[in-house]
Amino acid sequence: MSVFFREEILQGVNLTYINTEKFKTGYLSACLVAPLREDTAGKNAVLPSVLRRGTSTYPDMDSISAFLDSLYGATIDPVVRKVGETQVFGFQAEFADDRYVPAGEGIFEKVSSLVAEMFLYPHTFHGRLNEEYVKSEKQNLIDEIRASLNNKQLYANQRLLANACAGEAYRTGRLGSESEAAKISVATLTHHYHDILSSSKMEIFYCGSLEYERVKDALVSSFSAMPRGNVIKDITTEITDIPEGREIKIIKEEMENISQGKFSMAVRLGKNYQHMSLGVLLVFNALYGGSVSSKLFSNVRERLSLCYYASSSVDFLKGFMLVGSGIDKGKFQIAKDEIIRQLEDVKAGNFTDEELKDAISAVVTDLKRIMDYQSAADVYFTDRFSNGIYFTPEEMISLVEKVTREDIVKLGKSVKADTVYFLSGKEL
Amino acid sequence: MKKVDYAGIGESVYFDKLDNGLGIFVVKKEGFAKKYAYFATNYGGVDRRFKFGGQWIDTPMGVAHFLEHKMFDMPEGNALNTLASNGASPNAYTSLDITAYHFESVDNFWENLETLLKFVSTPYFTKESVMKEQGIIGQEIGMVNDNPGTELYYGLLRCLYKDHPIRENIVGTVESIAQITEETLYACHKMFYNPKNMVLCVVGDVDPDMVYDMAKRIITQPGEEITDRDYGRDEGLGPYEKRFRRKMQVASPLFFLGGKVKMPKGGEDYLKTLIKGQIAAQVMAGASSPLYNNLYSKGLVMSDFSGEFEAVADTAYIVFGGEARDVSGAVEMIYAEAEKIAERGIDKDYYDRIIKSMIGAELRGLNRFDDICYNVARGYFRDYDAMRASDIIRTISREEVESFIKDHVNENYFALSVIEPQNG
Repeated sequence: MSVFFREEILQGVNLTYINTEKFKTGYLSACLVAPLREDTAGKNAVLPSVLRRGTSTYPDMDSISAFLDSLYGATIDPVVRKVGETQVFGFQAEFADDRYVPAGEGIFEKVSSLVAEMFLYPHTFHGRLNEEYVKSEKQNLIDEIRASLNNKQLYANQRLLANACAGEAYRTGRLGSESEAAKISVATLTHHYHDILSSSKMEIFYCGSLEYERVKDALVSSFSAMPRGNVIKDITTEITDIPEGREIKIIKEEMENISQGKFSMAVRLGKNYQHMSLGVLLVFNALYGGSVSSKLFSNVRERLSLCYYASSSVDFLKGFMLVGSGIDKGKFQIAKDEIIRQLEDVKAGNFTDEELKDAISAVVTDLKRIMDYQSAADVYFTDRFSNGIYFTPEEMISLVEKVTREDIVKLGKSVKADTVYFLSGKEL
Repeated sequence: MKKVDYAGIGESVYFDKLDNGLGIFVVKKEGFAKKYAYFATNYGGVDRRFKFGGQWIDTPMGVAHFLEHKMFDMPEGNALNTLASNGASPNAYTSLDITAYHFESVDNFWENLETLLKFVSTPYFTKESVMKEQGIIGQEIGMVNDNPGTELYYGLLRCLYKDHPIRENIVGTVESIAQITEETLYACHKMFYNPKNMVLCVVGDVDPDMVYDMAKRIITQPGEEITDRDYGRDEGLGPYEKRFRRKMQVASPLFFLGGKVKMPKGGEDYLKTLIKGQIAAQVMAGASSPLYNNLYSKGLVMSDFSGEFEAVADTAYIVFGGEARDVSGAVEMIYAEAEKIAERGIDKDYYDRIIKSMIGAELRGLNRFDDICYNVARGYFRDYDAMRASDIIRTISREEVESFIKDHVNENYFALSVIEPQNG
C-alpha cells in the first residue's frame, strides 16, 4: 500500500493519513464518533446538515457555494453512518489536488479551515444555532426517515431490528426515530452541539498527494480551538449471544399495497466471533449470501427460483448478519426453510472446496478495490480505526486468504438465526 | 501504440487504429487495482435512416436499444453471465447516439476483455429469442411511459424538434419493436458494429500493447463506411411547438424550459461549443448562481433546479428546470436573468469562479473510469480530443459566453414542458 500514518494530533483527535498520487483530487473527512443511542441519534444525524448551512465567516449557502467555487469547485458534504453501536457523523470534502492547479492556491489549507469552522464556529444568534437552519434541516431529517419507509426492504429490516434487538442500542437506526427527531428544538440542539463537540473523539481521514507535515500542520491549526472536555474514548459494541435452546422468533406483518413480500432475518455470530476472526466472518458471509457465488444466490434464487433476490450483509462490530429477500407470500414457508437450511450447511461445513475458493476470492477482490476509491477507503479506515480494529485492507487480504474450512466450522458453532421477519400484502 | 502525455491533468493516453478502422485507446492509470473496458459503436436511438453500400436504409424505432439487449446472447450461452461469474461487473447502455458495452474487473481482466470483444462482434439471433425479447422490452416501454422524468424530457424534445429522430424514445414503441426480426438485427449489426464505426477504450494499470494485440487478434472483420445519416432537414433555432403539458402522479410540478443549439460537424469546434454551452448553463443556473439562489430562497423551485447543456449527434439543447412550486414564476425569472446578462454582461469575479469550479469538476471526472471512456469515445466519433477539455475551458472568454446566452436563451427560441400533479 501507499505511505500510511496514524497519530493523535490533538487530544482525542486522530488523523489517519494515506499518501497516494493516483487520484486527481484530495480527500478529507472529519467525523465525531459517539455511542448510538435512541435519544441522541436524531440530534447527531441532523447536526452536520445544520452546521453545513452557515458559519460565522460564511453565514449562508450562497457564500459557502461561492467560496467553494473559487476553490476549483471543492465539495463538502454531511456524513452520518451507523457502525455497530456507534454513530459516526461529520463532513467529507473533495478538492482539486495541488499538482493540477496553479501554484500558491493552498486549497487544502482553505478546505481544512472551512471544515473546522463548520464544527467550531457555526452561524449563531445570541449564542444559539440559527433557528431557520435548525427548523428546515429538522424537517429534512423527518422527510428522510419517512422516505426510508417507502423502501419496503429497508422498512422490513427496521422492523426486524426493533423485534430482534429490543433491549439493545443496535435497534436504533442510522438517523434515529421520527418521534425523537420531532422533539429537536433550537435550544436542545444547541445544548447537544456543545456537549457532543467537547465529549466526542474525532476521526480525521486524509487521502491525497500532500506530504504528512503539511496536512497535519493545517489540521492542527484549523482545529486548535476544538473544545476538549471529558472525551469519551472507549465506545463499545456489545456482541450478544443467543441463550442455548431458544427457538427462532418468527414475526409476520401485513401492509396494504405490497405485491412482493419482504423477508428479513437476523443472524448472530455469537461468542466465537472476536475481532481476530474478522477474516473468517467475511468469508462466512460471502459463502452464505454475500457474493454472486453464494449459497443463497445459487440455491434459493437460481436453482429453486424461490425469490427475486436473496443476499446477506454483515456488521463486523456487532457480529450480526442481516439476510434480505423478496418472496411471494405463498412461498414464505418453503423459502424460509431453505434460507435457514443453507445457513446450517455453511455452519456444518457442507460446501465444496470450489465454493470456499470462490468466496475467498470474492472477498479479496472487494478488499483490493477499496483503495481505488477515496470515499471507500475513508469508510473502511474510519469505521474500523475508531473502533480499535487496526487491519489495513492489505493485512485483511492476507488474513482472508488463510481462512480454512475448519475456521468456518469453528465460527459456525456459535452462529444462530435469531429472528425472522416477513412483511406481506393484506388479503383484500 | 502512440503515446500522448497531458501534463496539465497528469494523464497519458495511448492510441492506435487497426487496419480495419477500429480505434483503440488506453488511458494508463498506475496504482489502481480495478480495470475498466468499454467497447462502443457510433450508433444510437437517432440513427434510424442512413446510407450504407450506396443505398438509403430505414429502420424501426428502438432497434439500437433492442440490439443491445440481444448482443449478450452467444451460441454457447449468455455473455453477461460469463463475465459476472468471472469476477467482472458488466453492463451496457444505449443513448441517443452511442451504444456501449463495458465491464470493470480486478482479476481475470484479459479473459474478460476477450469475452467483451467476442460477444460484441458476434451476432447471434434466433426467431425465438427475438420474440421473447419483444415481450421483455414491451414491459420496459410500459415502465418508461409511466415515468414522469421521461415524459418531461421527451415532452420538451417533441416541442423543440419537428422531424429530428431525437423526438422519439430510444426504446421505441410496442408497435415499432414488433416490426423487428432477426434479419433486422443482423443487418444493423453488420452496418453499425463494423470496426470503422467503433472504438475500444481501456482505463487502468494495463499494458497498452497487450490491449492492441488482443483487439487485432479478435476483431478481424473488414471495416466499412456509413457514408451518410439522415436526421431530417435543418429546422432552425425556433421550436416546433411552444408548450407540452401532462398530468401525472407527481408530488409537485416538474418543468423543463429549453432551446436548440446548432453544433459544428465535428473537430475541436464541436468540443468548444459543447464546453461553451456547459459554461453558459452553469453561469445561468449553477448552485452558486444568483438565479438559483433567488428562485430557491423565494420558494419557486426545489433544490434540484439546474441548467444543463446536452449535445446529441448534429444538434444540442440548453435546458433549465427541476421540481417547482411555481412554474410560471420560475420561467419569468429565467428569462429575466438571460436578459440581464445580455444587457449588463457577466460579473468578472463570478465568471472566474465558475471557470475554476468547472476545471475542478473536470479533474474529479478523471477519477471516474466510466466517465473517461464515455468522453473519449464521444470525442473519437466527433473527431476531437476529449482530454483537452480542461485546456479548452480556460480559453473560453466571458464575452463568448455572454453572446452564447444572448443568442440562445431567448423566449422566441424556447419551449416549455410541464408535468403537473394529477389532483393539482
